[in-house]
Amino acid sequence: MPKRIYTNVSPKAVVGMRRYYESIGAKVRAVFGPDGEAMVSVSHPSLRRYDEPSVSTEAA
Amino acid sequence: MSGDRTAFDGIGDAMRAIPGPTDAWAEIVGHLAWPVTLLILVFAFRTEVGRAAGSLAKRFGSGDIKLGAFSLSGPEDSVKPLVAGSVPASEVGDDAVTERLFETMAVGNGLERLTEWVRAFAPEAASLEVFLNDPNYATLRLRALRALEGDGDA
Repeated sequence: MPKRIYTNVSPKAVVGMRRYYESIGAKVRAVFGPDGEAMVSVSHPSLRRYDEPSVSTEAA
Repeated sequence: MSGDRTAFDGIGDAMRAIPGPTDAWAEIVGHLAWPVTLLILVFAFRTEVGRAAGSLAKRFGSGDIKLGAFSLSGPEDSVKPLVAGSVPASEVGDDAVTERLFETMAVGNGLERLTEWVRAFAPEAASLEVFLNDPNYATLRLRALRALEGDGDA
């Protein structure tokens, strides 16, 4: 299953990530470091890899 | 006799040509010591070094790489670094904006408000996941953050 790993995540952002990703059925695992920041792994079939921006989709 | 030179004379000449143990020579030898030691070690453990390099090459080739407690094993896997901290939204990069959006989602009805904002201003985004991670939505993410934090209209 595709996986996205977020690094340097604050504890509050981990809560937000869990709230959103678990609501779409993703598996979320967080490991906190000694500095209080976490590394969060999210697994879900819909995840895909994004490379550099190619086409602008900005409205303004 | 000067005409009867032996191999030992040649060795003697060579040894006489080597400069005495001066500070400059000591410095040169000192600088060479580590590279030479490293070469000797690599040569002595050439089989083990070769096996380790082969194993690393195979792992990088297959994408089976471990990052901290997690392992990346497929071409669709990715790593997104965020920035934890309290920096004003106007002075932060996209990594910190994404971090702040996740923090906003943790509080009250933040998740619902962000979902509504994306539906209204970035309806082409297939999902909130796409909106939060696709680099093409970086500017819209900043606008969303400002809107949700009450720092702008939309």
